[in-house]
Amino acid sequence: MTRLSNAFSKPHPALVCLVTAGDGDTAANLDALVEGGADVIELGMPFTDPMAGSTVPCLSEGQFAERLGVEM
Amino acid sequence: MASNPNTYKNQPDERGHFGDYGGRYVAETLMPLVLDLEREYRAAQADPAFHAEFDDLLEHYVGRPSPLYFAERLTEALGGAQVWFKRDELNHTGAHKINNCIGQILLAMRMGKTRIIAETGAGQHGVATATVCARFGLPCVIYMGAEDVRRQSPNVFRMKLLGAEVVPVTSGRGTLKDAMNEGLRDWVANVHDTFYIIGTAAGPHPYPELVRDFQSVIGKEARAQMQDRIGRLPDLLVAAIGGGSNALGLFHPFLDDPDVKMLGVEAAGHGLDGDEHAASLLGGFPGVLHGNKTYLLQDEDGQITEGHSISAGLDYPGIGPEHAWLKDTGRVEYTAITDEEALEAFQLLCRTEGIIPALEPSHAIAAVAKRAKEMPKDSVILANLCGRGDKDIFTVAERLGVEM
Repeated sequence: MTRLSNAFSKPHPALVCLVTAGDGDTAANLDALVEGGADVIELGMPFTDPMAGSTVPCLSEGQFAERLGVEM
Repeated sequence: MASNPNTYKNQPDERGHFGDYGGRYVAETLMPLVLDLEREYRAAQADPAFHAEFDDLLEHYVGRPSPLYFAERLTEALGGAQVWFKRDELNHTGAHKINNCIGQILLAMRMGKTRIIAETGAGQHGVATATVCARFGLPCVIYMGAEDVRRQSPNVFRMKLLGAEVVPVTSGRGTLKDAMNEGLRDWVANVHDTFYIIGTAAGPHPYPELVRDFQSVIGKEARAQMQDRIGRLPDLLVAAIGGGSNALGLFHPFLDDPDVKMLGVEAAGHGLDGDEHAASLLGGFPGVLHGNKTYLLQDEDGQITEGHSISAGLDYPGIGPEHAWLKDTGRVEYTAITDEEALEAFQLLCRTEGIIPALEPSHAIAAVAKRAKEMPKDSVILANLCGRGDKDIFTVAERLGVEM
């Protein structure tokens, strides 16, 4: 948790950005967010049945070209 | 918290867990509501006036107690155990769903909520919700999968006649899971005035517990009725399982009777071998959906897969968390019945007893038919006839190639 608390203890309010994995080029998106000044990135995993994920889109037929697999 | 080995009836623990299952996996927006609901439920449980009002409505509005019926001709046809039915299909609205709706609407009113929402699969819970909303004068929105709207059209019309707004849900395969998603999303957006009446023993704590408690009127009555009629308890209880509320309602009061065996029947659809079934316990594995941890039909990434069953009420890729725990403890056995077997059982009950069952309990009847033959004639099977089949005649006609 130290890195996270560090992100919130800068002189300016922390910029927290949400992006969905698999929505375009994920690696490029993450790099761009860092370069653009994001202090914290929330990486959303697309799910078939999101409950209250705000901008996280539903995984549905035709929406993603390939099934998104998860490798940690 | 370790479960007390002397009883199966004291679940869940204070955090809503049945062993590893259950819990409260919800967005932060819903946490205050879910905690409020638990507090209100505990207060209601301790309030004799709440119980009195609940009992009064069950008796005079719903028509309880439901009969305990010995199916003489079916028993003869099967040639084995005596087959008895708990006839919750005779309740007002034609299924067991209303028991739970009465309890939840009383809770909603205690909490000062002014708007009711619900999900529905076969439409029985939607009809029961619309019914209690009309009875108490509350506006009502029912979410129903578009596919279910099509295959259970009589129920859709009934809901509208009762004053409810029916919202067809087109995401996913347009069935129960998708309706429940929309219900939860509506709730997240309308926490201040809205009460979500969940129709089965699933969802975030305290729903699985309170739904089971409201439905356990079924088993409490049945236990007393059996003792009255034949001076003994059944050897085997059988019930169909979608989310699992009718089964828990029948089973729970008997859980500490060690000689009473229990069989939960899931929907095997086109067979457990392929993907076209809705048997979460037999064909799935643990994950999180709709606010609880339980057995789900899912892929290796945790994406929920679509199930299939001819019966809308069993077509759910999850199961109430208490069943997941009961399966792990071995107290309840679980099996599955295909669409074809359910259709045969549907017709069997029509012809031997003059009762048209819903397709959901037809799965239980099919399992009863298999077991009865293997059991001695002095043994007793009690099955839950949790709904009547008027809503299913169009679907059955279609499957049998009959034009109405």
